[in-house]
Order: sequence, then C-alpha cells, then structure tokens
Amino acid sequence: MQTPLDMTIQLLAQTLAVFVFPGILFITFLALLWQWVDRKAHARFQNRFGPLHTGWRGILQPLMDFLKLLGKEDLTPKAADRMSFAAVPVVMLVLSLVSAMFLPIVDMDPGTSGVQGILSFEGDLVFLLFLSTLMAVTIVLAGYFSSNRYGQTGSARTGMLLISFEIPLILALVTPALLTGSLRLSIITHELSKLSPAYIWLMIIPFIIYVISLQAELERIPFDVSHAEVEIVHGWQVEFSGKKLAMINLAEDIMLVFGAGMVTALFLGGPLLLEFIPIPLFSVEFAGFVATTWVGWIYYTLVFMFKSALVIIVLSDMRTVFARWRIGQIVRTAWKFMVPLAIINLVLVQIALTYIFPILGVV
Amino acid sequence: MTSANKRIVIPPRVTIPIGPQHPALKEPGMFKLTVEGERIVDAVVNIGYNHRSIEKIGENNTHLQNLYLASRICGICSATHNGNYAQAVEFAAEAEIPERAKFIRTLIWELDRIHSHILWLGVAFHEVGFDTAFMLSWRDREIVMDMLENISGNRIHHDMNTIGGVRRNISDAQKEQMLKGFDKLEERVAFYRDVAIHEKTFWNRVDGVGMLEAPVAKKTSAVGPTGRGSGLKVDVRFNDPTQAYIPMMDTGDFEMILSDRGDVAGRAVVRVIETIEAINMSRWLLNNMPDGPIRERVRPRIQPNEVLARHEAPRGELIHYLVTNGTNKPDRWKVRAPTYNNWTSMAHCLRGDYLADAPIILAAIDPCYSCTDRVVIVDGNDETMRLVSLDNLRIENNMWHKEHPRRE
Repeated sequence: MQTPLDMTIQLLAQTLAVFVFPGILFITFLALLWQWVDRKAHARFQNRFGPLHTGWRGILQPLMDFLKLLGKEDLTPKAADRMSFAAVPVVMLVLSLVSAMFLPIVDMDPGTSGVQGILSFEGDLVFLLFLSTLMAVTIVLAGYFSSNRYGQTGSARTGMLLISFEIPLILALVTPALLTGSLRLSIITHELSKLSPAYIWLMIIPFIIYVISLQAELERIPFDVSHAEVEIVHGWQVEFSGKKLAMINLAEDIMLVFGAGMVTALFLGGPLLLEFIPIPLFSVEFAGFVATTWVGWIYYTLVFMFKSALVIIVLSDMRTVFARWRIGQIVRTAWKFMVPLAIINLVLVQIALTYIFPILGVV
Repeated sequence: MTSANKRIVIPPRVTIPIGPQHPALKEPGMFKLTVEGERIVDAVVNIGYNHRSIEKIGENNTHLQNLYLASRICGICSATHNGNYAQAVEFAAEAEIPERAKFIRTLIWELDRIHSHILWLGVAFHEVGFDTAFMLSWRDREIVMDMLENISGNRIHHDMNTIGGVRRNISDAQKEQMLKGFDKLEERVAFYRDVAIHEKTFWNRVDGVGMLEAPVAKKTSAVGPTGRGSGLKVDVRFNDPTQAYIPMMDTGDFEMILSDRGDVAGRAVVRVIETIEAINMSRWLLNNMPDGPIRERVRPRIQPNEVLARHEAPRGELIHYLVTNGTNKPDRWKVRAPTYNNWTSMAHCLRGDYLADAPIILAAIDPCYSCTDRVVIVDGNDETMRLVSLDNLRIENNMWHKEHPRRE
C-alpha cells in the first residue's frame, strides 16, 4: 500500500523523467548537439570551418538558428489547407519525440533486466517502425497540404523513397530480433550484449543496410531528392516558414537522434562499453555497480552519447562523399540491390543459426 | 479486360517554373518545364530579366571609357569582353600593338578561362548535389584568382587592357610565382578530372543526360564547350587566331579538345581537359614572352571603320561588332555573347529528360545571362512576353508615335 506522499514523489519523478531527463529537454539538447556535430564534421570533411562564432567553436549555432527562426514571420499560402498545414509541424515534432522516448539511454525501470527507455513494452520495435513510416506519410501530406508545385513534386519523391527504403530498413531490423527472439528494444540490446562475439559476423550486413537505409529515411545526401534545393527548392518544406520551419527542423534533428540511437541500441551494444571487456572486474562487478547505483545514470548517458556521435560522424561522412542521386536511380538501387541483399542476409542468418553455429559450437 | 478498353493512366501534366528566381540559377532567367511525373515533356525558355542597355550607354562613352564598361558586362569573363573591345578598337584604328602586350593580353584571357572553367566545374558539382567537390574546387580556384590579383590588382574585373596594349607589365618575380602556381593548379585540376570521370554518383548523373547530337548542335549554331562536347570543331583560338594565339598555334603543340559524347558528361570532360590545356598555354606564354614595350599610343579619334572582333571566351565564341565614325566614341557597338548561341539548343536538350536533371542541363552551357539579355516587352494585360531586337523596337516605336500623334 503506497502512501499519498510516495505516489506524489513517484509522479514527480516520472514527470521529471519525461520532461527533463532523459525526456524532452535532454532529447532536444541532443538534437541540437548532434546537428552541431554533423555540421562541424561535414564542414571539416569539406575543408571548411563550419559554425565558428556562437559559443565554443559555434556549439550554440543550432540553438541560435532555432531561436531566430521562431521569431521570423510565419506565412501560410492562400491555397493551402490552413488547419492541416499548421498541424504538420506539430505532428512531426510529436512523432519524433515519441520515437526518441523509446531510446534506452538510462535505466528507467531497474526491476526489469536490461536498460529501459522511458517508454518500453513488448513489441515496441514494430511500433517504432510504424512511427517512422507515419513520419514519412506526414512528410508526403505536408507537401500536398502546401499546394505548391515544388512541394507536390517533393512529396511524390518522398513517397518513392518511402516505398524503396522502408523495406530494407525493416528487413535489416529482423536480424537482431531473430537472434534474440524478442521485439522489445531493451531486451534486444540486453540479450545481444550477452551473446558470443561470433554473432558479430551476422550483424555486419544488417548494420550496413540499416545505416544506408537510415540515411535515406533521414533524407540526406545522396538521398535528399525530396528537398533538393537546386531542383525543387527544398521540396515539401518550401512553403513552411518561421515557427513551423523551426519545428520541422527540430523534428528532423530529433529523428537524427532517434536514428543514431537505434543504430547504437541495436547494433553497437546500447549504453554498454566497459562491460564487454572479458575480465570479471568489468563484466561482472562494474556492470553490477553501474546497473544498481546512480553512477549508471551518468555512465550510460555518456557511453550512449559517445556511440551516437560516432554514428553521426559516419552519417555525415556519407553525406560528404556522394553526389545526389536521381529518384529513378534510388528506386533502382533499392529494389535491385538493397532488398535482395537484405533477404539474402536473412537466409544466411538462418543457415548460420541452424547449421553452421552448432557445428562450430557457438552458444 | 481486353486491350481495347484498357485504361492508360497518364500522370498529370504540371508546369513547373524554374526562375526568374531559383536556387539553381545564379542569375535571373525563366524556364517553364512541363513535366509528366518526373519526365520533362516540354520546355519554354525565356530570358531578358537582366537587360542593362550597355550597348546604348557605350554609344555615349569614349572608347577608353567603354573598355571599363565592357569588362562590367560579365563578372566571370570580364577579361574577354575587355580584351575583345580593345582588340576591336585596334582593328578599327588599324594599329599594331607590341608583341609583349599581345602575350600579356592572351595570358590574361587564358587565366580567365582557367578560373571560369573551375568555377563552372564547382557549379556543376553543386547542381548534382556534390557539395564537397564544389567546396574543394572553389578553394583551389583561389590559386588562379590570386595570380590574377597579383598581375592586374583586381580579383574579378581585371581591366588589364587599354587601347594599344596593356596597362601593367609582368615582372620576373611574378613570372616565377605564377609558374610555381601552375604546377599546383595542374595537379589539382587533374584530380578534379579524375573525380568527375571516376566518381560514380557524379558520372551517373551526367552520363547520357541532355543529349545534343552533332547535327542539332550545328543547326542551332552551338559554340564553345557546348559545341565541342558534341564534336563540332568550333574554337576561334584555332580557327581564326588573333594576338599571341598566332605564334602559339604555329608551334603545333596544342590541340582542340573535342568529345563526341554530346551529353552533359561530354561538355564536362571538354571543360576539365581544356583547363589543363589552358594551364599549358599559359605556361608557354610566360616562357616565350618577348621583351619590349607593353603599350603603343593610339590616337583617341578612331577613323571611320566597321570591324568584327572574334575571340574564344570561356563559354564560346564572343563577337564584338564595332562601327566607328571618326570621333572618339563608337557609332554602334554590338556584343554577341556565346550564351546567346547556346540558348537555342536548350529546349531540345531539356525535352525528354528528368526534372532532376534540369539544373545540370541548364548549367551545362555555362549560361551567362547578363552577357546575353536584350529588351523584353511584357504586356501586363494578357501577361505575354516577347523579346525584341533593337531595330524592331525602333520601327515599332516610330509606328506607335505615328499612330498616336502628340496633341497640339
């Protein structure tokens, strides 16, 4: 039987978790930080400096951009569907925030094994895929609501991108789920960290497929056809301005946090780093120490941020070394190369699990 | 379902305007593309948003003033207009300029070509979304910009020419500096040539895009790299050399860069290899530069004459037609910029390609709107637009005044 005081404290703690850490405020902070890392890395790869003046090496530049956009004039085109047009940025922001709540940054539920996100339930992987598809559908609608020709072309291209790269993305996520026999993000992370190192070989192809598909999902070069600035003037974003554009930009940055976080959680071992060293001091005592005490809150967060930042740098490197593809080339690549590769990978994983690993004696 | 009543689904036709203000265009121009899905079925090209009536202003200026006006026609190929006007006036005056002046003038033209082609390459990379190569190539363009600043004192508007020669000399120290710079530049341009040819994502975007077959190119009188990319042998430096191009072509060390591909890739390859050739030409010019004066005095009053000066600008053949009347001002001055010739083939190139390819096809002729634009008449009532030449405008003007006599 809980006393009212306990309940109030628990409620306060949960509110704090949702709104401050590791909830909305922390995710927004990460979004702006990752945007800075992305911009800075992209600039350095191109032999430029990137943001330089606001804060330490321009670290506050994304925040300043956001605040400045908030103060800009907010225009709605005459021909646009007013209500839906205004709803799009809000829906996008909410969707991306909800997605990011599932990330296992710190252990919110010490009772269950593994590091849990704020939201976590059996089958949340399917729900996350649903959310990311919903995000793409919102983008398609955003272009059509603005009733701009560039916007409509951009929407059509987003749709094409969606039917091309959603499938390899989902197929890539099947492998970790298959290896652990679970559809819960935290359980997958936890179980994967306990598997033998031989399983790393099975994770390489899905990792590559996932990172490429993620780049397409986030609409970055070479897949940024839907808002190619020289062709269709930022596509579906063209009519959004002021607060709405600020919200859309923030939502895209949060999707970047979410995407990098998913790679971290599913393929890079989540917020665990020192636990993988095969010495009892680290794998047993240290793991138990951080899992049960407040040190875990700092340690898990830092490890998670470190791994995500690495993923961000890989993504911005991909953005640097390619030219933009034509939409036809993207669809052709997706269906002729990525989807068959993903399916073949699944077959290979099954063969390895049923025939090869028992012979080799891998547990 | 039988084949007779089979429904054919046609994607809706949408007209997408590119311009007058568009991120793909660095200067105002208007392209109405009718697309079916992603494929362009029709293209209408409209120019004339940047008319500045330079020719008319030029008729009120002296020849010396016109030199500086001419270089302001275009920011990228300012040396070509400047030098070609000086050349035209010298032809009209039948004056012979010193050998060293000829070499320096030609050197400036070739440096201008190098910087213009590297600039084009960067823009082409940007149009297909390859921003990294855009940033890097523009960084290396600074080498040649520094050279131009070193020689002429200006980065963009060089104004090196005067009537009867050039304004500044090139010292031995500058020569050594430039030879060193050329080595660096050649290495970098060779790198960009390899990037353009071997980088798959870039090559796939330009390969087979914007086809301009040789017969069509000939019919629409394509000039410069646009024509040479389709296999036409059009290069004034080789066909009708002037200035120091005459001794340079006599050596036989240089050859016209041609490609028979006919697509955007062909034009890109021609431009990149031409840049390396231009570096070699500049090197030859520096090494073989004769000593002597750099300027010959020419009387400001030019005898009555009618001349046509031709020069191979970075974008193609540039023509300055000049009528002099015995005073120090031109009677008529007509500039025909290379972009004007290349416009005509644009609609042909665009038709049948994808919307995503439109920016790179537009950029592939290296358009220079401010060089080209003439009078455009916009009718506010029915929103029609038409381009009118000066002569027709004068005739129409006279007719209008005849029909609407001033009330007494």
